[in-house]
Amino acid sequence: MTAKKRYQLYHQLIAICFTIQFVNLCIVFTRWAGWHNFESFGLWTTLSRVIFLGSWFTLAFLICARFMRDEYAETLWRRAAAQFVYWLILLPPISMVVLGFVGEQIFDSLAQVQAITPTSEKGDANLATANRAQTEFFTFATMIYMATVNVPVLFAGLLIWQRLRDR
Amino acid sequence: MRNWSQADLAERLDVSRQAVNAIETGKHDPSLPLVFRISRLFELPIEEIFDDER
Repeated sequence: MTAKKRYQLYHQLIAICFTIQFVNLCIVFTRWAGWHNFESFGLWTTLSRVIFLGSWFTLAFLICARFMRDEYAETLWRRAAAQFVYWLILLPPISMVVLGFVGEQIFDSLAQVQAITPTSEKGDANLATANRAQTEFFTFATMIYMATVNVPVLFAGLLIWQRLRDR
Repeated sequence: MRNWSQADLAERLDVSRQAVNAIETGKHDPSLPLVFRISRLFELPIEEIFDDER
């Protein structure tokens, strides 16, 4: 592959992978918010996982791969990196705000997974407290996981934003 | 006068089309090696291609 094709491919791949990740993120958040209960089944589940993981790893690779960038893409990368620092500071409080909106839905879905129902803890204050603590822990773990997984997505978003600004 | 598209120029300079577009619109200051490549390609002195007062 020639250098020019590589450089050209860089912007296109970033845009495609970012779009896939962003759509996935929207589906997850709106499901947590209770706006829909869309779930893929069978072959679609496997296919969507392959697409999701493939685009995530491609994104992570593209962010790290200096040889895929020409000097303009490198300038955009540096600008995005400078902005990214601010977002790293803002991300935890934003996550907390999001948690405030969708936290109960995560609590509910995790409680279902762990078969924790109001009847199972009825009359047992200790069990209720333990269940609540466990569910809260998993909720925060989920948010930390989401923030970690979406770091490359955020970076790619900033990169695309920098390119759009230059148009 | 060369009737090159941005893609043609990008091909000759070994950069992306986006890079050529950003240089043309003044959004990106090219590096010195790239400036020399552009100068050689157009067979013109650097100061005739780039205006440092903009």
